[in-house]
Amino acid sequence: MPRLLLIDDESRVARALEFAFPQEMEIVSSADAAGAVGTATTVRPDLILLDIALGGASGLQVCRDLKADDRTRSIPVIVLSGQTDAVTKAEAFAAGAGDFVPKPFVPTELMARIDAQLRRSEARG
Amino acid sequence: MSSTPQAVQPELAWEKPLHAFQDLLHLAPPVCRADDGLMSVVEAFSRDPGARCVYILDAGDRLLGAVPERALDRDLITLALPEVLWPEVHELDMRELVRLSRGGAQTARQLMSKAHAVTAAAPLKEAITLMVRSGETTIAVLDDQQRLLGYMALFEVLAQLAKR
Repeated sequence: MPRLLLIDDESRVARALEFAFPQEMEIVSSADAAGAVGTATTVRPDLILLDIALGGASGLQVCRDLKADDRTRSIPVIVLSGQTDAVTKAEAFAAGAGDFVPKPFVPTELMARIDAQLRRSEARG
Repeated sequence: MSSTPQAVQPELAWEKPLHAFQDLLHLAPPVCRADDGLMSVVEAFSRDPGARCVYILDAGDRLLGAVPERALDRDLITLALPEVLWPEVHELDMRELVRLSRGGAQTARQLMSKAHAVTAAAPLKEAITLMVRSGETTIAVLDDQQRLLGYMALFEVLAQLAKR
């Protein structure tokens, strides 16, 4: 079972993920944007789901930090955000995100995108 | 780990619980709190117009109500257009005009009305029946503690059933 780290300051998003995927994945959630690299290093997730609006912090900066650190660079990141304008999406990919899924999310689509990222990550070794 | 939607006969799908429809649920929609201002509600609606409303939650994420798109129309007019144009672009009665000229609704609490909702364990027929009878095109989906999970849209549900 893959382990996902959700970085989001709204607990209802974690609740929705746990509702959608009760058997398919282990979900660890954190609202700590500043400590995201440390959390990812400790949790060692197979994939990170990352919100952009994290209280006062920017998820885009969190993504850059994760991709700049040798310990977390290889972990695929999917941005899961309610900010769905083209500029935000472009910034998310520029920050190193592998994919972008808008909120609200449809479980079938999110699962397919998670699967695709995990397969790519596995193929890269 | 695939969750490819399974082909389900419409007569069986009708009886299945909502949580079985992973391709029809829209989870974690944008929401507001009751004391949020009009522009916060507008901003939330803009992020997901497909919901046709903005759900209003209490501090425990339980559903308090919803602000439907049509309620936002009237109050947005006061923000976007000069007062002389209001009657020209919208059919407003005198009471509504007076209310709007005083600044309209200020908070989500003033704008919201009852939200139609079902739990994720309810059968699909309950959600469809409630939407059709109420004239709403979407319905809130709650967990067993009445917290908002997301919503379903009538058109998507019926289109999927028709395809199956």
